[in-house]
Amino acid sequence: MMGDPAVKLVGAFGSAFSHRVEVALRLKGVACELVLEDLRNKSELLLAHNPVHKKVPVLLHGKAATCESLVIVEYVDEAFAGPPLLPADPHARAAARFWAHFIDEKCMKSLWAALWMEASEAQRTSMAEAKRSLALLEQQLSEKSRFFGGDSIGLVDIAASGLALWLGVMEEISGVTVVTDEEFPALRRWARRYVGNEDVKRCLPERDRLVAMFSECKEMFRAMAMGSDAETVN
Amino acid sequence: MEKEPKGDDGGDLKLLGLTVSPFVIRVRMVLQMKAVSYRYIEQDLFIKSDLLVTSNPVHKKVPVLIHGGRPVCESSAIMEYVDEVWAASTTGASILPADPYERATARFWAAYADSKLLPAWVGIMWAATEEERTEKVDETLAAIGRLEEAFGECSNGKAFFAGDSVGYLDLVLGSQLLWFGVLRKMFGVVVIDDDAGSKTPLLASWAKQFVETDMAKEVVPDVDTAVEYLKKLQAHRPGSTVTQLLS
Repeated sequence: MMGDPAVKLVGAFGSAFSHRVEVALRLKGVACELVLEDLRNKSELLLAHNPVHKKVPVLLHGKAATCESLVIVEYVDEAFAGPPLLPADPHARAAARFWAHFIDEKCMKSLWAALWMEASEAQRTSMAEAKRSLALLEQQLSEKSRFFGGDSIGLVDIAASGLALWLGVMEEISGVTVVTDEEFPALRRWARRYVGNEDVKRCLPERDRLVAMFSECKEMFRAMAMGSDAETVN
Repeated sequence: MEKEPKGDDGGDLKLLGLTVSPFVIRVRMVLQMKAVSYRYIEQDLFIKSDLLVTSNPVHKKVPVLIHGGRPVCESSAIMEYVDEVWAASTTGASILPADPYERATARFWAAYADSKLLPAWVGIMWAATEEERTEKVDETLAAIGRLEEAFGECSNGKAFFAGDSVGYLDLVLGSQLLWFGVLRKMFGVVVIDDDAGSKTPLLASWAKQFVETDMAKEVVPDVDTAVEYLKKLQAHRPGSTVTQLLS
């Protein structure tokens, strides 16, 4: 619409966190300019707008520079019209926020450790923890609803999007399998539905390119997993 | 049998908590601000109650708000829930502003206060060596320095991050002040300095105003209570992370 401030997303190719914001914008029907960073050589734009964490994604909208992917997703939901990404009912909203936070705090960290730590007691513990966390998510998916959010993609689906594509890529590269059809049938069905969604498809990176890109990072991921914080690269 | 206090819509309201936990303090303060009555049930985190375990099976942590029998978990989710359900409350304004960008800013800094600042000062209390302690003190001071800058940007010269009255970010950071008192008393570490030449003059003035609010006076226990609790933690669970035992 004429007069609306431009929307610019500072992201990076292959970043699951950037994807979260891109998909949120697409679901809301918001046009945006995508600026792709080279994370080995971060731009002034990124550093100026996210001086605290120096990470992607950053959303620029008028005077607003918003950081942290899930904070941005809620911002996108509140600042733009379009289908809501959170349910209307306060209890359901609280549950959505709970699970989105759970995915970031519990799932991602233990998964990362399970995938990249060298075979050891600690790695086995992480694997067990990762599977426990995924089992809890599995339980959240009912037979009736297509997504965590119900019939349409919502905050929890967006938070879990890394599980839909990136997890499989990391499993392939690391040689470690976490999710199988047998153990997590609902999650696998959800993942196929998620990557098959028309809006999602338009902002999902090609799997082959992700495999190629992350294959080069194997040693770095392993080194990072040896440290105390298993933080993903963004 | 004592009648259960009712929330606005008639659903009964219970809060499972720990009086010294920052995560619980912030929720109790929101409930106080909204003048919502509830039954507070103090939890023993060493021996978790059936009610806690069944209400929060995923984390088994406090706070848990149980409204009309339905649990709400995670302090940030609870705060927003209370703000939404009791939005029409005439006694308390919304803790989050209406503007989406201001809301995002509050949420960003609240996440920062919980993910960067809190683990750092917890690390001071649990450090095994002098070297580790020094490292954690440095991290704490760096994080509080960021928040000092953020205060300058957010407050627009007013008393609180949210303006004239306490808001979401004030509650998230303010609920940690009790433990800054413990750090000063037990470890000689000053996080927010109110002396001349302080690096955090804005936060020093903010902290003074925060502790003087009605809800802080109602909800926040005194430093000695927290000191006693820490001593109990140190005696019983030397290996655990304190965050585990503050929620």
